[in-house]
Amino acid sequence: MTQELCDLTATDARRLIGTKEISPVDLVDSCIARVEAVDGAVNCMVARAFDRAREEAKVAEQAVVDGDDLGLLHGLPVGIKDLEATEGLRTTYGSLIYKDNVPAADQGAVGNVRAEGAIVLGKTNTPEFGAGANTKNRVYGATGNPFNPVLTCAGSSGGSAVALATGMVPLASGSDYGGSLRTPAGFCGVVGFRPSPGTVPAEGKAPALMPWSQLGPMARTVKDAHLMLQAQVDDDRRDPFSHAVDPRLFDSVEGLDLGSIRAALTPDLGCCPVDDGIRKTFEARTKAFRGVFADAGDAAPDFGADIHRLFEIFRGMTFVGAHQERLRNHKDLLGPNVIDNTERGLKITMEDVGWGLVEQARVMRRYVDFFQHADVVICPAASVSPFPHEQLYVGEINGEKMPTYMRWLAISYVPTMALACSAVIPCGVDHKGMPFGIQVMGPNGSDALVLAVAHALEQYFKDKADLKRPVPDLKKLRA
Amino acid sequence: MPDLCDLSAVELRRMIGAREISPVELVESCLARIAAVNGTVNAVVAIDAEGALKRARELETAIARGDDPGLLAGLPVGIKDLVNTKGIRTTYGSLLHKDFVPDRDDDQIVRLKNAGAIILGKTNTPEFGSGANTTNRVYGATTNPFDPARTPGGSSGGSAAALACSMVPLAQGSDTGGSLRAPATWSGVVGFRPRPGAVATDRRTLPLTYFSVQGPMGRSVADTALLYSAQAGGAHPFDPMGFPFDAAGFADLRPLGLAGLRVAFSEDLGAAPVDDGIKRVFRARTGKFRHLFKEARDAHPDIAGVRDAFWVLRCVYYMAYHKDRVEKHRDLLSPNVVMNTEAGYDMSLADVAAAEVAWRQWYDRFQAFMEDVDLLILPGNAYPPYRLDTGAPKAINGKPMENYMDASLIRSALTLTGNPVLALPCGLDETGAPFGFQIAGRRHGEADLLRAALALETLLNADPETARPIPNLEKLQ
Repeated sequence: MTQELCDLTATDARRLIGTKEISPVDLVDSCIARVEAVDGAVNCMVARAFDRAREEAKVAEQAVVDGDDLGLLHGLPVGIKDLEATEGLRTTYGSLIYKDNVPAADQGAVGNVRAEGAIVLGKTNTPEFGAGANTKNRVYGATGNPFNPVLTCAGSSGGSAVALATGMVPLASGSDYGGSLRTPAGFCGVVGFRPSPGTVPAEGKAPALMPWSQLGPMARTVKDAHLMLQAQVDDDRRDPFSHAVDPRLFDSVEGLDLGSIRAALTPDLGCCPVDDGIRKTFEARTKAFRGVFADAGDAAPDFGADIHRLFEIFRGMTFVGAHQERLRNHKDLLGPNVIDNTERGLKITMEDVGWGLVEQARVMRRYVDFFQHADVVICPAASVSPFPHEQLYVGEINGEKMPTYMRWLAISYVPTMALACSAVIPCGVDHKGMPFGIQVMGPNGSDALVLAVAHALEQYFKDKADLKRPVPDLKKLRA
Repeated sequence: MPDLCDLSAVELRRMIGAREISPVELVESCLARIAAVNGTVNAVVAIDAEGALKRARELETAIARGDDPGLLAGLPVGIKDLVNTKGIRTTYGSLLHKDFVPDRDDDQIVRLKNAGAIILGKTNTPEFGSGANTTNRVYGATTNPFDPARTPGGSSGGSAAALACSMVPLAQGSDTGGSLRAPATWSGVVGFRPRPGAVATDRRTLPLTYFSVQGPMGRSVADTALLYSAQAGGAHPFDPMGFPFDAAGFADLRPLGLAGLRVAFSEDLGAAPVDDGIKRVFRARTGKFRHLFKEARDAHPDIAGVRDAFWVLRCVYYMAYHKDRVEKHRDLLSPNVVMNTEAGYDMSLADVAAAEVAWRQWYDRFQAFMEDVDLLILPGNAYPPYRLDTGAPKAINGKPMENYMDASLIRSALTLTGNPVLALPCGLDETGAPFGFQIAGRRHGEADLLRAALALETLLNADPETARPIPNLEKLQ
């Protein structure tokens, strides 16, 4: 199959738009054609703005012809996760309560992306209020994994990951509390970046001064994700965590010598349930690339014995704050994940909360200290291979029963509690032939370094059969 | 005739740089003032005279050699006794730590020392900084330099009183519910609560809150900004609220034209407890200058739900900080610490979640309000400083206060916004004690706030009724 315009990377497409070698109109048309060809099989682009996108593409084309100053994302189609409000485009949060909601205004980060010239092609599917790592809801149904549509694409930014993997858009937005843009990136063979708290502002999102949920970019390459990130970042008064943009985020991700980097490799962060097949895959893949680093030891930061309890306390607080009222008024319309999280939260005591606040600080400090002896930590993106989307979550790993529906996500929620930034990049396929991804993470504020290491690894992987990004067979999806 | 120690920090720094005075002379002058009045005021509780003189001699040599001595070269600084200082007794105002001598400095002290500051001693604070007073069982009460029978406020009361008496030209403080602002107001000095994380610190037990911030105090806006320029911008990875920025510009502050500013005035945020006498003074004083702004209106954001949100969150934080201590050492702890911690036991996660939601709504309302104004001006305190023998008033305008933080709402509401707030002195109140304003700026708007405050201070100091009051030191000796 010859490459179509929609398969270009965002960076290439943007360059070719600037040099007038391709037109935003043709690019948008190519993306629309791809959505129409394969979305019947995967169901990821759930609200579409095709007419408006075509109109905006014409305006974008004219701007190129007129020699206007062009934004970072000029003429690039993007997918926006359905948890982010988009002006004039149906935004449901995956919930029946909002099934007909059409926002009057863009959310800040969406506005920032549009202001840099991006064209919103549509909304990507997400579980109800982003709860859970299976992209499935009662408004739009389930999103399938492009490598095998009966399996889940994970979530909650599953729609974005699938749209990227299938070439529907070169860029998409995601958000991540306990792994919501990392797990689907891992399951679909694309890139997802969870930035440090406050880097991409989100207004009205967190009900509290808690930086667990963060917006971030998703793409097919690290460079593309970095391009999108530069459009998303801002100091927005509506986000209490936002701050002056770190100028290092505008540095190129290219040029880093992995031979100067100390990596700590760990299959499970020392505290997370991870399937034996994934462990073996991680061991085999890292064996193939650990030699590129100045130093690559097997080590993990110490997250403490109570890290899962810590996560559950803050998860409970977040859900009670956000959903307590909904639970009271609309329990019949809410899905089981939201109800379960909120009801669990109500059982947590004030004493637990006090303990959690102090313990979080200790976890963060030990994590920060760990980086005196390492530059990045590398671990799997997800604990298991993609599973059927019929199954709401992973109930058992290596024969051990998971105590909560979130526990299988520990490999991604544990770094969240330490305020890590973390990039997921594809790294071949797992023991079942499904996409395998790795997390490359650092402490709060190390975004530029983490992205540069991720990019350098991606370059190292790209011509190696067992490490390169897997691509789904679109022919099978076109049926 | 003023002594050397009475000069402003900015002027002293200039004179030291120009070798007109030696840091040694300045330290000696400060020590002499402490010897003269600290017996009555009890503001500086641990003094490192030997260390300070040694450091002053080193700086003198370095300056003579032509080294770049730093923004605060040779300036003695008072450090609140909640901050760890290497080799200087640090008690947190608690009997549990009464003999503690840290073997390392907190990160913020390292920054001050790197800027050439001389750590002269520790300033008094209530136990663990609990409450708007400055008394504890280790050192006793600090008194108000304008009336030793009354409190200087707190919890940075030692720093405020030491500044008012010129024991030091600069002092560090911290602020959760107003601990930089309340004592600055009652002692007639300047206190500045910056945005969370601006003065990053490595020792926060609870990093994910707006509550506790570190900040500068001085006798003038320019002095305060000078200290801030050395404190701020040094992000520490342990402080997730911190991020690097260049604060050096604050050392050389230029006034902002008042005629270009839109200002909102509120005597009580609509519903915070404020004594009628304070309201009268507030109206009279602001009436003198409000016409000078481009726009002046009486307006405030709606504070519904803020009091309860602050109290619930404070209780969670107290449980987090002090629960173990209260269980083990109840008899050694102050009633404020015990009460504030135990109040949390009856609360639930649903209360905390509701408080977080109310906080977030207030944050949004406040930021929206500040879109249309540059400054919000409020009274610095809800009532005049109380007598040490009778304690804080149990009622304001006849209305009983439920707990020891209720009367702080005029300040704690601003804590929850994360916006910078500066306490600026403005003459005396009806009881003869210092009166002052809180001036809140826009989010991340420290520079504009400090520049506007500098302009307003110049204006206020030109009128004897609104000028910064100065205590009669002879009465304190």
